[in-house]
Amino acid sequence: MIQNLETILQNKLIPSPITTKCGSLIRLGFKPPVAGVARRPILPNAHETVQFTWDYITSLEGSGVLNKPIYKPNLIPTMDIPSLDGLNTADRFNRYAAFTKRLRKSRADGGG
Amino acid sequence: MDPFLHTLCQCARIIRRLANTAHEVAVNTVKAMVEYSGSRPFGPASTFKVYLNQVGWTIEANGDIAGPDHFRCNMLKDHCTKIVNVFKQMLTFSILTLTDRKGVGDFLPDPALSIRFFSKLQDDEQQLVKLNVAGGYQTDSMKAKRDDKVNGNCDLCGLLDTREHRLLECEAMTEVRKEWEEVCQTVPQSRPGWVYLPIPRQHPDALLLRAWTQLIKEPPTPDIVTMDDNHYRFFTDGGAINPQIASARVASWAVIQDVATSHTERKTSLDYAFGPEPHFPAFKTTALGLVPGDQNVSRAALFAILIVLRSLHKFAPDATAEMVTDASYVCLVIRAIENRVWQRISHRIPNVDIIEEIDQLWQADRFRILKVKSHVSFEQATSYEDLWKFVGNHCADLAATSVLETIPSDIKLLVDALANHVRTEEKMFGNFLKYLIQFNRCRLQKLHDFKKEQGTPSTQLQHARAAPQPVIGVFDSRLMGIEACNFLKSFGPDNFVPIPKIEVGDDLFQLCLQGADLGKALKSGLDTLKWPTDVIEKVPSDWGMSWFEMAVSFYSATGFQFPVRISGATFRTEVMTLCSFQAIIALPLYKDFVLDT
Repeated sequence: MIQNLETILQNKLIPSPITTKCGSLIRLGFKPPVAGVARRPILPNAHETVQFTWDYITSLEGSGVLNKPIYKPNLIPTMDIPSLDGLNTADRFNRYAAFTKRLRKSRADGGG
Repeated sequence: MDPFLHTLCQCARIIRRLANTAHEVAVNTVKAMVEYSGSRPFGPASTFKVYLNQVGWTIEANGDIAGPDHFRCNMLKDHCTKIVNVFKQMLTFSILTLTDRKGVGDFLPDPALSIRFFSKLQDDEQQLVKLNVAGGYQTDSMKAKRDDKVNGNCDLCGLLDTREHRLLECEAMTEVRKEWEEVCQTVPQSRPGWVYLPIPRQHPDALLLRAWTQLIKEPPTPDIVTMDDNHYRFFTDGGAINPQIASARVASWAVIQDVATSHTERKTSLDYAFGPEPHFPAFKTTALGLVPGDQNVSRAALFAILIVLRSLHKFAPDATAEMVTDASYVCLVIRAIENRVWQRISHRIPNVDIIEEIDQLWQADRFRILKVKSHVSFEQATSYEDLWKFVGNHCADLAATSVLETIPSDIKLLVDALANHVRTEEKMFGNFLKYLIQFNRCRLQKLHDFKKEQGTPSTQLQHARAAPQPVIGVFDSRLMGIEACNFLKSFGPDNFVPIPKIEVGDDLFQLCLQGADLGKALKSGLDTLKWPTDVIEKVPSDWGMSWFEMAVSFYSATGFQFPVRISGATFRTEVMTLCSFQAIIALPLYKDFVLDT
């Protein structure tokens, strides 16, 4: 989804290289290799994110799969995202298809 | 430790600890194991029983686990260390019975001896022996069987490269063999299997002694001389033949009663101790014998105290008594009984069966235990009381030793043969391992030099790598678990900056296939992250951040979860939020699905 958004915005949203062997979960006791970003950013909600991750991994009891739901009861989001009048799936797809077509054409013409 | 043995030991430990804290549960578990005769286990007891069946051990209702060659321990009474040691020995026998490998023959191995020697070696020496035993130094004749390019001849001398050739014949290794001439002569004759697998052997009749000691019965409660003042004094002691050699050890005990009725009588009788033929009229041998169960001196000394208590309980129930012993262990046990602390650690201490009975009979207000120095000459006594104790202890020691002289002559011969065998085997095995180490070192060096001359890649002895040096920068490489968790919670180094923010209209988010709201939320969420200034560079010490944490952070900040496509394509696409309850219900193979994602 991030790649999709980067295509739309024509801008990098994650500057760090992507890695398939991220060490952060290993440090927290989750053994199998997981994918992630190679450089750790500062998260605005680091404390609660890491605490949730720690509790989540502990609750796996040694299982090597992150297959439990990510769920917090009574979650109060810290960021307020105003709702946009969303289009339906078909309209979104058509707009996106037209956008990528334009993009390909401009690249073929030697534009940005 | 072997994983299967570890499992067996853990099961036994759990039952032993249960026997301490919830005895009835432990007994019921053992009962369930005894009664279970199936092959498909359905719980812990039946599983443990199936494990025991796999190695051919049996369990009895009293908690006894019996293995090959009269090995036996009790899961409800013996201490954990003994259980583990017996399991180790029994499993070694079981494995060797099942193993079909050169070097394993029709003999009883002595795993204790091999472990004792091996553990004394340095790390690199252990590695050299391990490689030899585990097949690390494969012979060329063996390689030739599966590789056409190998001709099977020795690199150093050109003859057929077999195990015997390498260790006993190869001319290139003559200098090492000269140094260990005795080993090279005796091993092919007496222990030819060691060329393939060096395993020290037990005496073929070792199990006879083990079986014989299990036949030693508890003695009847001995009679004691009644004292007019109702105060009794006893001297107790234990002894053993071959105390340092477990497989050839037989232990004895003795109880001596001080029958003198007055101080004058004691002083008079002491004069006899210094005569040309010392004798001790004021001391009477109450009882003596061999120890039932494990054969060791400390158990013997403790058993002697138990015999005294049984006699007092039966013949003088209201009497007061002093018991003099030279065993510190006995004094410690009595102190633990008086302080009521032994029960809590009973799974960790030996001789619990005896301690349990002593605990029932011991009366702290009427009985006293006294410690005396052992094997002290009478001249060292500084007072009359001291001398009296030394003489009493000396009598107890003599009595305990005399028991060992009354052992049947056949058994005595067997014990001597076992002890001699262990000493010989110990020396021979130790020398062989030393030879093996030096041989391997020398051969590796020669091979290295040889291959250097030939210009081919060498195989030098690999040394164990040292642990990597800790990296302490932004991320401390030593942190793991909860420490790492605490570190990450407060992770916020300086010089981290957000990426340049770009302003975009809301219309652009309508292009987002997963939805405009989600697109905007993701953009807003990612904008809040701060990255290191050299973010493009790969820094090995950086722990990075998993997508999982990214998803959690995003969910926590915005309330949105990432979607995944579950069916359809293009404008018929149906999506669902990853890691949600709905996804788990909707996707039957959710586990595989998450892994693929």
